[in-house]
Amino acid sequence: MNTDPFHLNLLSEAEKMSSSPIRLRIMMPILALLAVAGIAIWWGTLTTQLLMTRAKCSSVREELAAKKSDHDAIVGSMNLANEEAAQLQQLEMYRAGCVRWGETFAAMAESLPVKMQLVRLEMPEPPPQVLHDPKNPKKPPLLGPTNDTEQVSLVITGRAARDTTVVAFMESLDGAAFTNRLGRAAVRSVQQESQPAKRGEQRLLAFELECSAIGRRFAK
Amino acid sequence: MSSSPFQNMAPNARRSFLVTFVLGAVAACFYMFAVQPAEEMLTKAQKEYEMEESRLRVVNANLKGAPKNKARLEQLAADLKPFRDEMLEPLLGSYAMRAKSELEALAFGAGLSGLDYEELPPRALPLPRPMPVQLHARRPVRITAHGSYMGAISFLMRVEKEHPLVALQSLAISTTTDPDVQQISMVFEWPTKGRKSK
Repeated sequence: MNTDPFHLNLLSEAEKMSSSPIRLRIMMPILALLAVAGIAIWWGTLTTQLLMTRAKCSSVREELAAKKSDHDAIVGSMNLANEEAAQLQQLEMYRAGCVRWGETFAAMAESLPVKMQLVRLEMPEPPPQVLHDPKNPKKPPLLGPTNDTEQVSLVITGRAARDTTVVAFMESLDGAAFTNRLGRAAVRSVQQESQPAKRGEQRLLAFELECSAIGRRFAK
Repeated sequence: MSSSPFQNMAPNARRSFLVTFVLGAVAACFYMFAVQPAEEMLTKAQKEYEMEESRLRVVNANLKGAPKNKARLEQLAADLKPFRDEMLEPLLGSYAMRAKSELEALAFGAGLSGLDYEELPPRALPLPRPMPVQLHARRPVRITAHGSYMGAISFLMRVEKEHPLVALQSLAISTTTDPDVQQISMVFEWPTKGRKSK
């Protein structure tokens, strides 16, 4: 007896072309389930990391709290050191502006020619400090000057018998004793006195000299 | 009669589709309401941790530097001592009185007489960087006296020797009717405490 072979085809038309031996209706829920599981693992990892980070953070905070009092003391002493360093810097500026004049004036007395008399020796006061902004007077004054140098000068008024005496005195002010202290002396005025000091004496020359001097520089 | 493709599906396929849809929705909700907030919280916690960690590093470095800072403070105290010793503090509310108590003996020793002391307004010092809270200033005191030129210079030299931080600001020596007696005016400056910068 010859019978045709029985062939049962259970594949749908769409499944015929698929390379996967597993059907889509089985794969789709499995993939969705895997996605849910993956997200759950992701969340678990993040939560674990979060808990670990929080634990580390709280342990660092505890350590900081334990060291707080010691650290506050150190910070206080560091602030004090910084404040004192800044104060010292300003006081060093003051010291830099201190100029010794005693030796110079003593030398001046020694270098005075015989036939000369000093009438007045003056080192004028420095001009007043300008701490207000002239353009904006309503602005609060500055705490310190912007210029760190003060000019110093000497005004020497005297009498001498001759002009050569005055010149000799001016030359002596260029000597070694006044180096780094006084600049070149300049004549402000010279005039013959109208009357001699005593009857029978010769008329004297009244002179006024001005010397620039080493400036005071308030800078470290 | 028309019907949706969902109704035409085989029961197995329909169930599969529903399960997939439900699981997808669960995954999306899980991502939105659990994973994303957890990520944000973790980022925030990591930032906090890094901040605290850097604070701890600074604290440890500061604590480690404590002996060095102590030595620095001692050095500063030693450097400041000459200034603090020479600082002009008011006596009975007057700087002139303090100057008098400091300089009177030197002036008499140099042969000056008729001494008078006058307090002048302070002069500000240039500001250093960084600026201290307690500023210092120059306190001028004018001293007028009678005496010889050499007496005045002797007084000046004694002041400069005994008080190295006292500086001569200005000077005027002028003759009087008596040739042996000069009218002397000197302005000396002391370092003194000034305003507070803050």
